[in-house]
Amino acid sequence: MMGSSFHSPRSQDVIVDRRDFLRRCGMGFGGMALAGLMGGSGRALGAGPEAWPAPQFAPKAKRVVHLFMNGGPSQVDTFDPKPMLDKRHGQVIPLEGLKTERPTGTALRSPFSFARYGKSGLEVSELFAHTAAHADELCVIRSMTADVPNHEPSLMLMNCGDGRLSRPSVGSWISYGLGSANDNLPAYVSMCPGGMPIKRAENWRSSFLPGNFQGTYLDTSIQDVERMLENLRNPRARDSRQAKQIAFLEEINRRHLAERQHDPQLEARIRSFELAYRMQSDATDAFDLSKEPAAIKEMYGPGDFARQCLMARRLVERGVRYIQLWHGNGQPWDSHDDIEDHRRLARECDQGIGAFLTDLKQRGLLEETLVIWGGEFGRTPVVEMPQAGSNMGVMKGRDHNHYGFSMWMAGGGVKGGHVHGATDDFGFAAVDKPMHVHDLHATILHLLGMDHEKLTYHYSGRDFRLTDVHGVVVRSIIA
Amino acid sequence: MLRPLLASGFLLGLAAAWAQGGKSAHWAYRAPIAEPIPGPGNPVDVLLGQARKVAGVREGKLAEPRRWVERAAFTLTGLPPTLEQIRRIEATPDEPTWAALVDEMLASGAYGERWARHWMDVARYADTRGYHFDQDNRYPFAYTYRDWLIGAFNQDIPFERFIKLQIAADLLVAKQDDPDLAALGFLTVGLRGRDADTLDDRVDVVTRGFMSTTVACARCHDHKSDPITQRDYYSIYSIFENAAEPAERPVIGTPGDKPAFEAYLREAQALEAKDLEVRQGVLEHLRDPAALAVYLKLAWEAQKGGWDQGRATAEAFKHGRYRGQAVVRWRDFLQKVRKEKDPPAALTAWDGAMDSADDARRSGLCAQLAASLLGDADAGLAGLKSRKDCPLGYGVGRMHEVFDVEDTNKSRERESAKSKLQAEHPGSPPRAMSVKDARDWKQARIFLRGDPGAPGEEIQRQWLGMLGGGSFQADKSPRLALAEKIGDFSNNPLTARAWINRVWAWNFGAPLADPGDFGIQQPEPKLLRLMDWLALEFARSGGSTKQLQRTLLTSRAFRVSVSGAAGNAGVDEGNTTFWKWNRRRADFESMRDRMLMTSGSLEVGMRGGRSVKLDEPAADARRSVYAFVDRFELPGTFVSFDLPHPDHHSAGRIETTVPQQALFFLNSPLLLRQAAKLAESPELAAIKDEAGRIGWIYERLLQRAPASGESEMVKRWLAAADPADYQPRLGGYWEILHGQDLDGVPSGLRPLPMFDAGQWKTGKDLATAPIPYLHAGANGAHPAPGYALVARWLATGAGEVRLVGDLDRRAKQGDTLAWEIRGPNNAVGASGRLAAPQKTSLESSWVAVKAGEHVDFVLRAPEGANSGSTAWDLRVVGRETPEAEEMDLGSLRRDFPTPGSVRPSMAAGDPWADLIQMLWASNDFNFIE
Repeated sequence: MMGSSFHSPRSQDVIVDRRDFLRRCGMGFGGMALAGLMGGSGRALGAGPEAWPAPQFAPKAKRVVHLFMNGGPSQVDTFDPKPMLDKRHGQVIPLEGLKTERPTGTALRSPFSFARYGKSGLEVSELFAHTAAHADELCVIRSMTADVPNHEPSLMLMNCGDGRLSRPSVGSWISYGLGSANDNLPAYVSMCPGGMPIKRAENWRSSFLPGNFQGTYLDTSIQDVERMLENLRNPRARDSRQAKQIAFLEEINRRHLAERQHDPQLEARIRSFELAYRMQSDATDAFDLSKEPAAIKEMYGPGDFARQCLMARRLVERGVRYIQLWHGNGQPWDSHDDIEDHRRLARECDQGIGAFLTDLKQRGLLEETLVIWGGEFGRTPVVEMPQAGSNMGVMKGRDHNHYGFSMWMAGGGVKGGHVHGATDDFGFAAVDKPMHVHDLHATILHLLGMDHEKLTYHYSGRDFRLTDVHGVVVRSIIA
Repeated sequence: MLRPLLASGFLLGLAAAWAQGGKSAHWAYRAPIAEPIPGPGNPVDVLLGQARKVAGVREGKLAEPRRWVERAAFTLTGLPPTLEQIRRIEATPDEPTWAALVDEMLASGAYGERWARHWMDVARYADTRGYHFDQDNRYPFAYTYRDWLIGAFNQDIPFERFIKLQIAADLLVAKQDDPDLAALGFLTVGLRGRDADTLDDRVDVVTRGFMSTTVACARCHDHKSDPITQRDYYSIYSIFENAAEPAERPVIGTPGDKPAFEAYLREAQALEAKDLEVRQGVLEHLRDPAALAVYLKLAWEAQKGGWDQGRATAEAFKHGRYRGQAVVRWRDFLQKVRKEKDPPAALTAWDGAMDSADDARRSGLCAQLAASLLGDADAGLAGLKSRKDCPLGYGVGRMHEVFDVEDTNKSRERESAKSKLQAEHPGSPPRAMSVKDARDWKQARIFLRGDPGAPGEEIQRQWLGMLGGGSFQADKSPRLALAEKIGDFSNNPLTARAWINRVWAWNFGAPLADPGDFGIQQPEPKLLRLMDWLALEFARSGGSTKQLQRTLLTSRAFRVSVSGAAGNAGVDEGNTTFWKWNRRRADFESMRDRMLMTSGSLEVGMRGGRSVKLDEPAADARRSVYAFVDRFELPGTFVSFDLPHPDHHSAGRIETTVPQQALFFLNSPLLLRQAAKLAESPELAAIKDEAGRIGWIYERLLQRAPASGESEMVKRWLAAADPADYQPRLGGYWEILHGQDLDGVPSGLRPLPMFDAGQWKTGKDLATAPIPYLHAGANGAHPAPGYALVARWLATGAGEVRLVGDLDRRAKQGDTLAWEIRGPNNAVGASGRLAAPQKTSLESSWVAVKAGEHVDFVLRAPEGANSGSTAWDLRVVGRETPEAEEMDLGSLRRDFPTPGSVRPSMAAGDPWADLIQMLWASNDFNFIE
């Protein structure tokens, strides 16, 4: 019945506790405010209260920050050291039926050195030294698996739980399930500097969920806050004038209301203008990094990604539910030609990530914020061969690899200084405790206090969920 | 006339099926029951009256007559009513006048535009296919489907035909260029994915769209609750699996502009020729004796080494531009020939020789084999080249099968160019997004768990089991037979109910049953009798939607007051018996259209044509139905205002109230632009007295005079307006100009005549342009001797500004360039020279500007034409007063002017514009009651 505001109203559909409904849906930006009061039936959003997830257990995390290394970072060069690759460098290694997207050749050792960090002695490559300073907070999953070695379906799988079909993104599900904690900001923000990742807005789509659960995209290479959000600012009217406009509009609307019987639709719309006016300053404030002290800015370092991390911290403080930070437009981590490029990429984000974790920790926010790092898949431990039209440069790069790759999580109730699962000797395929993307999703929802089998949305005749018919909560990584 | 359904047999079968489970047939699967109407008057009111009696609610009073007209204009046309229409009904609020007004609106062209848009939600209409990697993702001809819908509603074609044309127009029209072919866009404007997913989308849109039935649920297993099986699903799936889109979409009209059409044909032919040339090149390469020798050697090695495609590609590339796929094809072909009866003796001999030879000798052997294959000396080998499975036998049409990544990239570029040409060229003729039955039909079969990689049982295509099943009529295409089954109101109880339910919902703001799903889980609608009567009446009228509209709109239910009788709310709060009018917020399209109509911008007579992007000011003349809908990146306004995502069929819009909507009314360029326009209109300017002006605005926007007290409210507000609030904010925009360079002083500045490929220039080809190489783009520019190239920033408010930026000239050598930053009155704020190569940062001194004044960045080549291009990144920062914080006012890269750029108005607006804007933002304007 959901997915439609059109239906014959029945008495049990009337939201009994409107306050509760509004809390769940958020009155704000990404929330729905007063939704779908079609025909004054009190029917909200086509979803009966029975459809809302009953909290099954206390949440460990209140929100998620997903650092998306789009393009696919290599596990054997970052969080999954493989000494065997050094030994067998340049030799053919058994692939055992592992087909790669493009032609690949012999074993390619990592040009980066690994060291042990923290009390846990977690091994991390030199690329992520700043991140590694938080080794004892990191839960590294070395046995991630996806379905295919192609960017598009893997991005869709990681973000929306299905490689092919149009399904809502994780952030949409979470905003739908938990609502917004801030009236004046979007519940779900997706940031990417200088453009969008491939598949563009499909990565944060709401699909058949109502449109307001879609991620709000921000181009963080734009320094001017007012241009980041559509219609946030009136290019002509001064604040004093706009305040008077809104007061006048309120007078017009109150007069209209007074002549009519009580109708929540009319009041909700009046309230939406008050919210909008407040949002103009609150949102501007949230994204305005000039308010940060110099020492903090310095800690995060230069560059777009660092700015995104700092913005993310400001959004975390303001109660945004789901924040996704993309490394950059296109697929920056897609180092087909030369894995050395990972050095530049890591330099662009590592300091910001380290500072972000430090900053969350020092503000006591890390334990209630689930931070996730990773790409849509990993890379092959073998070298990619050149061919016409692709990889025509040096032969030092790696192809896509969905058989085994690394991600890490921190805060939000996961075990710190922990390694989950393992790939084979070369780092090609997950062999110990493989964790599919569906399992990751089930676990994320669990950490947020939601049962992935019960967070459903009825659409087109059946109940849909993020994990479809898959997914197992991986309890061993939960603290 | 409707035949008695019991006799048709389907119900008996159905009843039998359901009796087994001890249940009676589900309401939606039963035939509508014809019962006498127990009373006089419009049967809609009689049947609602019965239901109200049962529910215990009292019938309400009729609303004031002007509301009838407002509602009808909203539901039938999506535009505001005219003052004259309101006055007419107010003067004579009787039934004949009302019926005539309804007819008048049904007869207006705007009716089709309104109802086409409703159906476009159902049909998941979009102008793009979704993600398409680096290729143009537009459907250049989706608009022909939209225009067909508008015509179909306006002409009120019988609903059965409406169904049949959208599923099988190609099988019904006689001419190859019949405009009705555009109806097939219903099948083809959906989201594209893997074939199985694209087809699934078509199964879904057809079954849910026409029958409110979720057949697509049975893709992976039989439906959990409804009597729909995988067999049902794959029967329909198979029908669409065998309906392919032709490579060339049929042309269904000729552009009025003949020269443009001819120009289009020339360009299209040039693209075809280019494609052919590339394919021919690959073909010649494959047949080249030396290249063939390499392929044969690689094929032999691939056979011996057990290479996969990737290895073959990598090895081939070591020899130069050799296609890995051709290696694999040769390997497989030779292997096949070896295994055939009596393989050519020369091949067997070659095999033996290859085995014993060393590498150098092998090359020689391969050259010999190549010569034999290409020549005719050895009959056994020479005969192979004419075989279709031999790579030498591939024609140009098959060359893409051996393309490497590079070939494919280039081919995609050509495809994109073709799509772009079709989408944009003024002479590109309209085409239908049609389909055609396959010549040889693929066997229908079930996919296990919905996985096309796991084909299961073969099946006979059949009609939905729950509606009687049985195979489709054999003497026609199963697709046409399917369309007939869906449109057969006598035997299919779903279709008419599904349609009248939608029409009801779009008129009354709530449906009689969930339009997305009439399945078993849906309880019997309270108003089933009304539903059935409407369905039967609809069938009796020959499927006339306009007749249905007349019936609904002339009912009292359509005209009942918004408040209703006291006490009803406690009994039937949900208004399930429509005892009061459902107050409704105007949907996005009607809100925008009503706003543009009342501002005077909308050209209502302009019907059809290519889709327009709504954020472009030129679109202000067009109704919202003509919006370019990009399913890949739905405009933010669409998302904020609840347009359903066109990835899926939408059963109904979800209505939300979010602050983004309020921000749209407060700040969007569209509202500001339109409010300013109306405030400055000569009609308003001609009225001098304040009360007259207020009255004019109210009448224009709300079709009424201000009520008592309203005029005073507005006057008070106008009187309190502070002139300081209307000083424009400091801001501005960029222009690109060129003029003569008179010893460093630019003269005769004017725009560059052409914008092409992101650059302003004087001719398409830079080398032969009137001023060779002179051009400017967002990221860089190229000056020319004797000319000044100017990036001008024009202020729209007063304050102090500074132009800052970076120049980066990468050419290793060249003539030194000169640059200046000039403020108002040509005062130089900074200047410098730029050698090659050189990088420099610029920063002018503070310049005071007023609205309309400018700051120029001038780039010149005083020393000669050898300059190369210079990367630039120019920004303007400013502050309104020396004490104020510095603001970013404009970046040339970000805000680079294009022909479509919106120039902000210099006017800050005035209190009258604010009044207009706030009335558009008001609940009064936005709610229909």
